[in-house]
Formats: sequence, structure tokens, C-alpha cells
Amino acid sequence: MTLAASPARGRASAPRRLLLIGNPNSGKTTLFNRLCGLRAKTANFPGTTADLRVGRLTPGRDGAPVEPVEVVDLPGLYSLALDLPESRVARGALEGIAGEAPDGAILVADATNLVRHLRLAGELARAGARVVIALNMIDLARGRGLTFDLERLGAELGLPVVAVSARRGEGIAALVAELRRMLDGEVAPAPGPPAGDDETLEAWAEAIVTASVGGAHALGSGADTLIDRLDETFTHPIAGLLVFFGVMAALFWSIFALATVPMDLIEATFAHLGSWLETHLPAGAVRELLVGGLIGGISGTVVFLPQIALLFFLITLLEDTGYLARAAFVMDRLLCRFGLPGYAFIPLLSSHACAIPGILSARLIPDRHDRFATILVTPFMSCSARLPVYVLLTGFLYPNRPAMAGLAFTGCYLLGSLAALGTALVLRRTLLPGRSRPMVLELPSYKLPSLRVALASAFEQAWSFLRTVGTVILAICFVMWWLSAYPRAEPPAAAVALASEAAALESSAPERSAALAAEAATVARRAQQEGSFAGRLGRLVEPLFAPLGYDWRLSMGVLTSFAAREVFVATIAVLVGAPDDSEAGVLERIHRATRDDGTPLLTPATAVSLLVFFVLAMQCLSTVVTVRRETRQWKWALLQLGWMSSLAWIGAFVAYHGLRAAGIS
Amino acid sequence: MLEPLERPSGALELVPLCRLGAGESARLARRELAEGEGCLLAAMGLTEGCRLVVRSNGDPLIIEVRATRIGISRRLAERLLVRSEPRAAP
Repeated sequence: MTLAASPARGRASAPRRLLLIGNPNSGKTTLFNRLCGLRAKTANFPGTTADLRVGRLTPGRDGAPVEPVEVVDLPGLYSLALDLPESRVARGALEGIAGEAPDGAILVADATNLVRHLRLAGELARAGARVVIALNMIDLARGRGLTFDLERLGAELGLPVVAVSARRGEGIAALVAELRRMLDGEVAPAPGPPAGDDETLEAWAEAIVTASVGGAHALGSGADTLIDRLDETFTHPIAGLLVFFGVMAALFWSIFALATVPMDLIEATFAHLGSWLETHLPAGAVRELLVGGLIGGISGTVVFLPQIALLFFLITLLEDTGYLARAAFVMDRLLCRFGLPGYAFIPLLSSHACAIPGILSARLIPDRHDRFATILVTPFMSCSARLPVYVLLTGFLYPNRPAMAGLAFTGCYLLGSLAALGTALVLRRTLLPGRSRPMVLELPSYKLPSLRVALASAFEQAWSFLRTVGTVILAICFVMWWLSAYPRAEPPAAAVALASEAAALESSAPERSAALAAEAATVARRAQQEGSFAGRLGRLVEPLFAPLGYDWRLSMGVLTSFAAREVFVATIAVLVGAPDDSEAGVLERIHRATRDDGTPLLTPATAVSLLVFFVLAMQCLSTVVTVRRETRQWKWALLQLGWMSSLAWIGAFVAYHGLRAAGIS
Repeated sequence: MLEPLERPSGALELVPLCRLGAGESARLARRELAEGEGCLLAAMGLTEGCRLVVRSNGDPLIIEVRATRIGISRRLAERLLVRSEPRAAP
């Protein structure tokens, strides 16, 4: 096969490439972070359908110049032979990525459960791959009384074996040295197990472990009453559910409680920057663009960075403890009533950060109908891009009442979840008929989570969020500012009159003069916005959203956030215009903004209507594209877009008119 | 619930996995599964003839195959037929 072809072939420009391969829960990601540091990127290689993490092997500590080596982190898999997406991706990557065969593979094997992990080594050997085995979690295995004859193990396998503990960073240098030997062509493909079926492979792996691993539990871990008790509690119909809700409540509480300080800092920094520019730059289009357009828009988005980083940090920590696999079984009992498989729990949970990783993780669901149903309902979960809108509006509805704002927040999450379950129920009775498949899941060992892995995940997501802010959102802020600033209009007569009155009173009554000048500026700005391109466009779409209680600015906000929800706050911030009071935070300015007729921009009824709209609407072009890619049909992506948009419009309409009928306007 | 199946050959009877209590061990004899359902089980080590120990009999049923703990939803455990093994002396 290709891997065996020519290990030291010269590739002038492309770096050498190693594949990191292993079972789920083998500690593969921890080892990846050890080998490559935190600076991994996600890449979509031609010929593979998956986004794979790619890192560079960190150069040796001796400072010797070394050629660049790329490490590709393949999704965790149990076997190369399965008809599952991760197995297909791995087979494809072994054949070659973009026509380039890899220079070798690192198999991460869990030393505490070697027989199962060696099956994969056997499959790789059968495929003719050059492999170095990283015998991971060696510290845990030795702690359980296992002894390893590494030389014998290597000889039996015909492969180099290096004992490592990715968690503690032990054995990494030895592993890198062995990888360099492989890159130099000094590692030959192993003879591998005799040809045969699953049982042959199993017997081969078992014989090797029997010959080279000692200790009472070499072939099994034996009884462990503490783990049994924990498992029973976490999967219990009542206790398990209570623990689950407790853990989730703690998770979301931490996100909001811990994020407050950095969020306030970010807002204050941007507000100071804005007022500094206001005083140090000459009046004109450049100052307006910087202060009103870019700083206003960007600060309205960047302020949510702490929450996004925290969410990923905490979910990764939780996943690392081993608890989430148990929670999946608790959710299985609930979800299967709505036609969703228990496997859907992980996609649905990740979607609270972002629907895209959620949809991608749905690949692990074996049944097609189960998988499609999960993909179609996943975007109903409240993702972090909705947070800006939720924070803005719940803060408006319940100013200075954080408990009530928190409840309203929870209500948004619940509404999204109910819409997801209801949609699943409808789908399983119409387009995707049938019951969900029963669940089988490995329950990984409980362990202390790794801060390093959680930090890496938070860093990666925060960076990807900042990239969006730096590109798409920056561009939209620029365009929105231009649309709202041009064509330039002369100040109306009323504004001119107010301004001259203010000038006349400047020395005799300075306070009155300042108030008049501010009023003149407001009148002039409103006239400018009304005549601007944004004003005209907004009025064009206003009839569609007027039944929901939105004026042209809010309609424009909904329209521009069609591509990405997080743009909404930025758009409104830009449209509300340059601040009269630069020191006020962007959220506060939006809360105080008025419509053209002088009535408040936001009322309780419009705020609730907007909340309902943003909970239910798709409003994310990247998700639409991802759904198309994962289902391989536009039909599903467009059906989902249409369904969610209609549901959002109807929900917002009912909420708005319901509240008005109840006397709340 | 399924009744134990009598083997005409007089071999040990086959019972659904979910009949075993916590701590009991057995060997997997037959998987009455739809197409495609069995391959993931096999990859996790649940091949025919493998020895397993029931750790907890609830929903999910938690079993151990070598050092791997696997949760199996009860609906599926009803369709895995095993040959019970006598409890090992303590």
C-alpha cells in the first residue's frame, strides 16, 4: 500500500506528514497537544469530508534545526473496517491526502486496555502502514499493577513501542526521537496478524498481550465497586437526572458568573478607546467611521468572547472527566421518546457553543435517519452567537434584576430545546420515519480532567471567533456604516435653528446651550439616517417585519444578521449612531435608543418578539452550508432554513400580539 | 420478556443479556441485530464468544469486556443472547 512506498521521498515544499490515529478515549487529543502545542489549525483536506486538526511537531529542545513535520489528528475510531464516517476518513488519509501518501502513523494505544487497542495496530499492519506505537496512560496502567515488557511487546508486534503519559508529559522526547527514525526510513512496516476475520485479530492481540504484559488484570480490569456505584448513580432514572440538571445548571451559572468581569473590562476598554478617538481625531467621516462604525460594531461582538471561551473550556473539562458518556444514557431515555437517539446528546450539547461542531459530531451516529433528524434539530439549541442578542434583550427587559434576566435567559434555552424536540417528533412521523436506534457507548474511565486540553479547546474556539470578528463582522460594520452615512444630507432647518439658538446662549446659559446642541445633533442624525441607503433599504423590508413590532432599524438588524446572528447587535449599534455620551456602554446606548417618531426603539413586547425570533430562526449561513455538506443534499438544508424561519416569524408574531393583547406593549 | 431458549443439543441455554444480574459473567453467543448494528459492537470487542461481566443491570446495562466498560441500552441488551458462566469462587 501507499504508506510503504518510499519513506524518505523528497518533497520540496510540502512538510512531511504523520497521522495520529487511535481509539476514542485513548488520550489522542492530549498527546496531539503535547506534540504540537496549542497552535493547531483545522483544515478540510481535498478528498476527505472531515475537518481535521493539523499541527506542527514542536522542534527539538536542543535547538537543532529540524524539517517541519505536520501531524494530522484523525477522528477517534474503533476499527478501519467499519462502515462509519470516521473509519472512511482514516482509510482515505492512509491512502493519501491530496495525492500525498503520509510518511507514517502514530498509533495511540491505552496501556490499561491493550487488547482492544492492538486490534487497530493489527489493522494498520495489514494495511502496510509504518507505525510507531505510543503506549499511553502508562502511569495509570502501572498504578493498576500492570507490568510491561516493552522490548518483547515491540518484538511481537514488529513495531517500535514507546511508553508515554500524555497527561504528565512523560516519554514525549523518546516518542519524538522514534518518530524521527520513522521519518528517516528506519522503521519498516510490521508483518501483522495472519489473514482472517475479527476473531483472528482478537486472538492475535490477546496472544501478544499475554506474552508481554504481566499483572493480575492484564486482560481485564476486574471489579471496582466505586466505579460501579458512580456508574449506577449517574445513569439512574432519577438520581442520574438530578445529577445531570445539577451539572448543567452549574455549567451555565459558571459561564455567566465568571464572564462578567472580563466582559465589563472589554466594554470599558472599547468605550474609553471610542472617547479617546472622539477627542483626539478631527471631526469628519474618518472619526465617524472609527467611532460609530468600527468600534461600536466590533465592541458589540468581542464583548462575548469570554463566554464563548468559558463554554468550550468547561464542556471540554466535563467531557474529559468521563461523565458525559454517562449523561448520554440519561438523555437517551428522554430523547428516544421524541425519536432522537441518545447519541444526539453530544451534538445537542456542543451546539450550545456553536451548531457547526454540533452538526459535525453527529457523524458518530450510526443510523442515517437518526443522524439526519439530529442534524435538522441541532441549530434550535441556543448557540453562543445568540448570546449577544439574549444579553441585550433580557438586560433590557429586566434591568438591575439579574435573577429575572437569568430566568428569561433560561426560558430562551428551553424554548429552543422544545422546538428541537417538537421538530424531531414531526420529522420521525413524516420525512424520517422510524424509531431511534438503541445506544451502545464506551464508558471511559473516570479521571481528573486535563487543564491543558481544555485550554487548547477554549483557545482554538476563541481564536476562530476572533477571526470571524476580524473579517466578516468588520466588513459588515464597515458596509453598514457606509450605508447609514451616505448619501450625505444637509441638516434640516429645525436642526440648524436649534444649533444657532444653542450658539446664542453659549455664554449666558451654558447648560441650556449644551442641551440644545445635543438635540440639534440628534435631529440632524435622525434626518441623515432616514435619507441614507440603510434607511431606504430598512424601509423596504420593514413591511415584512412590522407585524412583529420592528421598525426599519430592527428590520435591518434582522436582515443583516441573516448571514450570522452575532451581527445583529453590531448592526443596531452602528445604526443607533455615534454616541452622545461616548462613555456609555454599547448595550446601554441601544437600550436608550429611539425610533424616528421619538418612541423607544425597544419596548417589552418588541424585545420578547425579537427574543423568540432569534431563538427559533436559522440566521446562520455557515450552518446552512454545513448541513448541505453533511446531508449531501440542498433539499435538507433548505427545508431546515424554511421551517426554522417560518417558525420564528410565527412565534414572534404570536408573542408580540399576545403581549399587546395582555396590555403589555 | 423472552423465555430461555432450549437448545436441542442439550448445551447450556441461551439467555438474553438483560437477564443477568450484576457480577454475573457470560459468553456472547448470538447477536440478533439488524444489519449494520453489530459492527460497532464487534469493534468495541463484543465479538461472538467473548467473555463479559455484567456490572450493573439497569437501563443502560453496563458490562465489562476485558478492560472496556460498555453501556448498552436495554432495548439492545434484549437482543444479545449469552451463555451464562458459573460464578467464580471468591
